Amino acid sequence: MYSGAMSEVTRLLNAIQDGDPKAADELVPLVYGELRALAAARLAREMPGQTLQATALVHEAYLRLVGGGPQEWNSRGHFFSAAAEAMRRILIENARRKRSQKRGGNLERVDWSEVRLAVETDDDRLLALDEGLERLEREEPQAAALVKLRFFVGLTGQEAAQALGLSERSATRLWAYARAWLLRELQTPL
Amino acid sequence: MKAADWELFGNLLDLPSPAAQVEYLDRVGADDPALRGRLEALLREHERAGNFLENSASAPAGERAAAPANAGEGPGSVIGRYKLLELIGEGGFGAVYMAEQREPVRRKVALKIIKLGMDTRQVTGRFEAERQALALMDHPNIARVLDGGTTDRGRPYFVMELVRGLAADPLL
Repeated sequence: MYSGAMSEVTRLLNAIQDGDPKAADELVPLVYGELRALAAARLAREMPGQTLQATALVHEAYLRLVGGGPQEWNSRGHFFSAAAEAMRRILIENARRKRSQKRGGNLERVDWSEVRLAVETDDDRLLALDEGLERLEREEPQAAALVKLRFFVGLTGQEAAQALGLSERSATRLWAYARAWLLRELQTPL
Repeated sequence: MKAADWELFGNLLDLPSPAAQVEYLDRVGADDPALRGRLEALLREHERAGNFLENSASAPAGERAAAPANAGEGPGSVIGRYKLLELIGEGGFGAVYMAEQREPVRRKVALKIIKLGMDTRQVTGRFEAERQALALMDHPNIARVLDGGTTDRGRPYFVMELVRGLAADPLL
């Protein structure tokens, strides 16, 4: 681990805590880089056929970038939200790349197909879902954040509620709303 | 302030009967027909939503096949003498929870359970070996194994001292 990234992550988490809206945007690429590096390192080390899980990757990135000590739960929540956004980007890029691979070379170092991400969700549907999610984000940002945490990182409803600082009742209602809203947008179930 | 759609939709879902939902929609529609239309459309989608999005994109396929939503242990579950409080770490084939032991002493412990869908004979074998290896060790820097067993669903678990930094447990 490079300690520069760790202190930068801590600085950004503190800035988000203090209400700096740009800090969250800066945090995402850092977490994104760490997730990719971790996945690449793991895949190089693990036996062929071994698969990684997004949830495990995110937890490991958290330990590496934030540390294992006690953290305020809201800084943990900010981290997980950034990780959810990073994981969404990774998945979407993966789906786009697979689509365009027919056209050209593959410069990708990490073979994300070995990472068990969205394996059961077909790429076109994943991309359609993502477009719906972008629209939901404009209308009801917390509902979109909840979907990202649960669907892309695999947090449980309770963990996601905690990450967003929501009561479980609100999270349950937002989740029902998000699912119905996205289904209406997509018209076909994933 | 006007309530958000998701809150009104939540109210609608909380109603006990379809008749009460229609009555609610009628009342909403009298003031705001467009809102009524939105809520009705959402209700239709909700009813056919099935397990849409419930299976995380990040869960391994085997886990999904083996575990319908909410089938596994989680915070609040009781396993033997232990009540799971919070997930503190997760790894390739195990999840570690902070758990509360009620008897014979009341204390917090770490409880590690083999992951849903990972309980093939091979993984279970590795887990069993780890359980025995840890039980043999009694060292200040190694979490001591206090107890072990299988859950109601037949998954092996073991209970360790709750030590700081356990989430970084390399054996996870």
